[in-house]
Amino acid sequence: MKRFSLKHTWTIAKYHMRFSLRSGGGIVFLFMSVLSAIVVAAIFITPVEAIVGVEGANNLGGTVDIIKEISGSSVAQNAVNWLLDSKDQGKYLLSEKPALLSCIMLVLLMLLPYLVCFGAFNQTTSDIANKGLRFLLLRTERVNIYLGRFLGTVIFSFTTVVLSMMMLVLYIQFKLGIYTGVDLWLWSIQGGLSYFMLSLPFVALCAWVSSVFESPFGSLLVCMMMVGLPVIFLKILNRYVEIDSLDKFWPTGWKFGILHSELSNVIMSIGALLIFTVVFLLLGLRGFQKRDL
Amino acid sequence: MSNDMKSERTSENTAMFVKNITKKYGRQIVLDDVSFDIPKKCIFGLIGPNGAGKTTLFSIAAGFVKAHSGSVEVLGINVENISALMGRFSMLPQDAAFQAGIPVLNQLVMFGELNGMTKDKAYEAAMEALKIVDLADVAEKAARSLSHGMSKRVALCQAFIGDPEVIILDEPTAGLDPDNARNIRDLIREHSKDKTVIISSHNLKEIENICDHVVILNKGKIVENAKMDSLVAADSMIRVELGEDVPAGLKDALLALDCVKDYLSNESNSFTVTTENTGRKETLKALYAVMAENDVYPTSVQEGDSLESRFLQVTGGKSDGSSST
Repeated sequence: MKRFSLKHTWTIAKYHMRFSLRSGGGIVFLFMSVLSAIVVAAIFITPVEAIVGVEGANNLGGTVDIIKEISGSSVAQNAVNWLLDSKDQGKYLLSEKPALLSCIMLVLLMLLPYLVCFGAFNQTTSDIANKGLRFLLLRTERVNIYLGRFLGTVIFSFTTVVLSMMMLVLYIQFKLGIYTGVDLWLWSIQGGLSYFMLSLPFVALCAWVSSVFESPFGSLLVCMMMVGLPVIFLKILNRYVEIDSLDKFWPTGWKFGILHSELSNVIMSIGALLIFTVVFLLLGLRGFQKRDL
Repeated sequence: MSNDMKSERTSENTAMFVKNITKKYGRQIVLDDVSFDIPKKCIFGLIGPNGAGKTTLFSIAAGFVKAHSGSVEVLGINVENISALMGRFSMLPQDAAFQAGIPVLNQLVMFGELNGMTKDKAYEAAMEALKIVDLADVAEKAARSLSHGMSKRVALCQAFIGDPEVIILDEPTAGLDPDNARNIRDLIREHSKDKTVIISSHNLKEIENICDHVVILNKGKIVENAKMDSLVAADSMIRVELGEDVPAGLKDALLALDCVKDYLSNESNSFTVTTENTGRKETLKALYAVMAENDVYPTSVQEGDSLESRFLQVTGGKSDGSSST
């Protein structure tokens, strides 16, 4: 790769993160992430809070029963069955792991690709349009600008989602107090890894779109379409073509893989998401290297 | 075309080699096999009418856009390897904007770090650069809150961060009021010692006053490439302004004079003639006589050549306002 410099890439990533926090787009993304987390959490936590309130009043030692009731509740089962193809994985997520957190994580993982678009659609678009990148182009290679912006966006979006997640975990641990701290935090770390891995290909996809368009709105629109349309297309195609796991041809097909009970599935999901990321990055970088800026 | 700059150039004494650059946008040829070189430690002017290809040429030199053919070397390094020039080559790009919501100081510090400085050093260099353009007090302000003149000065100061050897300034005074423009000219003069500065401008007087060398581009081709001294001391020129439109028969009457070599129409009420060196008094006498015969009288007569008259001559008599491709 032509004159790649880790130092330059990190410098650009660092400033991009910092600048994202002060830009309108960054604040909107922050707000949307927190809001999504709160709304999703409220859907699942509110009924549990009601149970805890009753049980807590009648029987202080009833947390095991509460956990059973949550994992066996129709709300949780329906949500998990709707999201997952595998009933075994659903059982694992509800019975062997903190069910409440599993439900929240699954829904957030489903929303994550769309949410990521809001944080990643403008990695280079505005600066191409207003020629602001020209201040950087004489100071470093295009590859460092492209990868620096990508890295900065990954860290910024991941930090935002993880902070939202931590807020929920702390609430579940201290307010509801139904799971042991170790179980909850270990599971949330695996959830965090899922967010990180799933966000990578979509940030890379947005980096590619962002480097093609000169209108931020156009870039956002195309990013959203690029995330959603292939999923719909593959679903339709699946009705006519009998290919197993057709959804795996797009990163969304691997979104729950890192929460799987089997390690081989986890590793395979990480590998697949990394491959998607590298492919999107290389495609985007190829265009960015060649285009007029 | 005078070619007095085609003396022996080596990478030791040359800041920039432009070799056979051709650039097309669609079918339109914006730059057509352009070649020239720029000696080290001079102030070099690149001028031309709108659409001549000046900004495109600068953009190719800086690696912003790719040429269809040809190459540009700065300090002996092909600009394809731009990072090899890190800190030695900088530019004030035309119409480039800073990130709107971010304080200018933060952006300048980032530029300094990318130039290879430590964060502390970059901070010092950024503050020093802001002081030079008299904007230290707006260092913490977001770029969007700066006026056009202030933004231009900040953009200028970023080009000087790290003490680069070669600096391109694309229209450094465009859109500025006369006071701000003069300040920027003074800054360029003051801070371009021991550097190679390449300037484009539509203000020909500015180029004439600042630059040692000049290249004139027209329709994507070089039509003049000369030292400023030799250019303005070329053929004698006389520019005449009339209080009314130039009458129809005046051009032919002037060209019929032995002392007049060429006639250029500037505007409807003025013209420029290139004259033989047959004596200033005799030439003026003949010109006044022809004007009197045509019943027109000058409101001003400017003797001697100027960059503007040379520019008008080689570009076909068109001098226009701002912007460029």
